[in-house]
Amino acid sequence: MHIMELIPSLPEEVSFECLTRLHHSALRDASRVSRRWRDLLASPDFHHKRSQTGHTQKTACLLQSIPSSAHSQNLKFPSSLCYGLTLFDPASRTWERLSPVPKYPHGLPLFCRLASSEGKLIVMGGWDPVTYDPVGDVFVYDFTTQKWSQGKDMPSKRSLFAIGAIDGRVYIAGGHDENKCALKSAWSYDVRKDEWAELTQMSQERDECEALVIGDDEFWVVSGYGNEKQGMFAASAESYQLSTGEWRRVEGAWKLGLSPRSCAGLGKMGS
Amino acid sequence: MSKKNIVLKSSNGIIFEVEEAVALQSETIPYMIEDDCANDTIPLANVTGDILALVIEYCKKHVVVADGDGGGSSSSSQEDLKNWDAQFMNDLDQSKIFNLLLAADFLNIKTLFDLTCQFVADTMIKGKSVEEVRRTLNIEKDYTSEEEAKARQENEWAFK
Repeated sequence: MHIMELIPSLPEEVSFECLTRLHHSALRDASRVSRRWRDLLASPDFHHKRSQTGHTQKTACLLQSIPSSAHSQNLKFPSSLCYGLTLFDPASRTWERLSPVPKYPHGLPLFCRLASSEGKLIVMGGWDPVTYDPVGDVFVYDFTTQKWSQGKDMPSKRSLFAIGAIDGRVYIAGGHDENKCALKSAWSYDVRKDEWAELTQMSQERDECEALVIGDDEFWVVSGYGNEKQGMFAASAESYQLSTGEWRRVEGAWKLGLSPRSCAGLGKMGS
Repeated sequence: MSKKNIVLKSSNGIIFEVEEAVALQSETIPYMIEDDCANDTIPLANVTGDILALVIEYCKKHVVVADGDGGGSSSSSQEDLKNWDAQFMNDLDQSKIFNLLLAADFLNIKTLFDLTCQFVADTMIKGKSVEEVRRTLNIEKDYTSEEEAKARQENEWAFK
């Protein structure tokens, strides 16, 4: 079968080098040039190469309440907040509002969680903004093609859980289920394959816990509380080691009774 | 101290004599010198004379600046060099640019390779429509019209 070249009359590796140097504003149109370009631009190799050679940009992404508009009269609680995503590009110092996900045109699920991995933004969980029912939706925004897609639903509906990303996978743990029962289960989501896998469970339930990723091997889950201790935030944390698949419990890692929402991240390389 | 010269021969038999420091910006040439020490002339079977002339022009310009600033790179000479690079690339047509890119790859001259790749990305792809990119780079359209229409629609949606 005839395989199309990336750029006719240039060797593949040279074409690859040219394409990895594209300004990010040109990627969306470039992915429409040919199937080969589309597949290449969507590949982890392409993203890794760009990030290695300093051709990726860091963007701050904020989940913010958007001033309520005409849509709000459709909501169950008209005065309630409507959440959208705001991007800040430090290179050009510009702010931009991300287009809404198709399923929630009038605002993202309340308390949804965000993670970033290999040039993609992952949004999952939270409450339906209209009915306040917990949802298990997963949305992935690709900064290369500047498009949203819907991923495989979370294995169960979950809110106020810890989330972090390492090497193409998103890790989640704790939070509570549909019946407001605190959870000790943890899962990983493979962004490339769109697949969920269950991890070993934590030593205790942790509702409203927070996550911290350290290096490329440790997913930390800080504080949270069990069912019988509503709001009494634990002082312990536990860290999941990717290489061993085991949790390690650490006592006294957090201040007893204090919500870990203010817990700061200590990223090695950012993403 | 006398400067050593190196003799390069293009694929079409044109001879260039250059100072060693100019030629050694290529990471390929040192291996060829070692392999071929009996012979004074280094044959470059993949590079034609007109392209080799451009490569040498680039290397000469860059070796002079590397010498001239005595270790501390002054910002004005860096700026001049950048402008010179831009002018150098702008004067070339597409076929020359592609051949220069191949030569920089073969001779392993990192800065020239970077410069040329970046020039391809910035002038032949960025800021051009999908159709223009295909035309410029001679890329066959392998999307069906339906797929194209769909992609366009999705893009419109993404930017609403």
